[in-house]
Amino acid sequence: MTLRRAAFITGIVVLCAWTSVPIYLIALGAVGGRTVVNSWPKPFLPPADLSFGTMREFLDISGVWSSAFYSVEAAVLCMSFSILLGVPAGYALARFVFPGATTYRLLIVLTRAFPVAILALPLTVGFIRLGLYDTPLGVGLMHTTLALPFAVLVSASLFQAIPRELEEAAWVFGCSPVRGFLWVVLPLALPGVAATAIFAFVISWNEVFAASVLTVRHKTLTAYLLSVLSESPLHVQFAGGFVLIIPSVLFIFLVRKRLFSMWGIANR
Amino acid sequence: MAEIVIDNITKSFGSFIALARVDLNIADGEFLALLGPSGCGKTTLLRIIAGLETQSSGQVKIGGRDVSALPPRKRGLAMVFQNYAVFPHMTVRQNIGFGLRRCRADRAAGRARGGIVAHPAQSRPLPGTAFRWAAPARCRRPRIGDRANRATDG
Repeated sequence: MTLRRAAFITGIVVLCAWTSVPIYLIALGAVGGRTVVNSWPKPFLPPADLSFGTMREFLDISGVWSSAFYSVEAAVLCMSFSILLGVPAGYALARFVFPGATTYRLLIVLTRAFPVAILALPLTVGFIRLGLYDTPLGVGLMHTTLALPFAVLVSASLFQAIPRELEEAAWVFGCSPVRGFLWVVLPLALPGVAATAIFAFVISWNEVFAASVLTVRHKTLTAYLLSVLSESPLHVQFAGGFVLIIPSVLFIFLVRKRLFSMWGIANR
Repeated sequence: MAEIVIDNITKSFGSFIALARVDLNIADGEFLALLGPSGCGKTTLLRIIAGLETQSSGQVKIGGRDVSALPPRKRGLAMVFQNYAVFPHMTVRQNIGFGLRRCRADRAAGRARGGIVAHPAQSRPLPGTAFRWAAPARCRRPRIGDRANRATDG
């Protein structure tokens, strides 16, 4: 028993280190300035003269704020599309038996089988024709295709975890199918849907290849940093990386509780 | 309360015949238990009465009204499900008031009934045992149930 416990605790420590050490090192480089970035071994605690000078230096690079705004715009669009299209599709997969359901499931996963690199040129040409090239909407649409398969499959398993009987009870007690969904199924699925939405947001926020191909002047933050930071000193690069991490970390903390309650429902 | 008449109901799933020409009259106020081995069609018949399953042929009448083609929500029934199907995201009070509010009979009545039956746990999320009490308590009549006694016994 104690051995199992020790293994359990070791696992937790390793997992924590796995996620937090890189974040810590990047943060250290971001706030520590030039000296910390070049020093070795790294100080365990943040330096006493904690300075946000590097961060300010980074945020003063022209175009960072506007590209961050484009990033948010594209990510919100990606999130909305993924939820609006993915949740109904997931519900259909979870609740209805229809011919070709298995093939459909496979096709969803297959959308990820095409490398974006191959699609880049036709996509660019198509987007130019449609007037979507170099717009946050175009990037958002592109990112939706990346996030949508996850949204569909995750929400399908979400709805599968909600007993069908609950919905049937709602119908018997006077709800139309739509009302039953809104009053009974959706509240129960909401934590998971929120997590899916945030996942879609983070996918879009982190994506760099398609974003750099599809934009020129309205670059998202990742694409912009890719082109700008290669010419900046190391500590500024760290600051850029840190800024990129912040939203993902913040979002996970925000939905932490909801994530747990989602697992609680799945376990019942 | 109302009389339930099951008239020549047949239900088949593909080539499997679950119910073959079932006739059953349940009088107003009668307490009726269907007994049988598992798989003999008790649940199927119940689901047909509730409208959750469509019969292959035959009619269901509740209070003299043919409800065979009506969706569950228009049949005015209450049902205790085999696994209770109590809504886990609502309080006991909300669960009990749910059916009453949905049929728009009287919102206040829904609240009052929830208040009386569910007093001890009225505003807390449902704990384990409360599930079993809330399931039958939220029912309007006529009431049908799948192993409904399980909900309150033991």
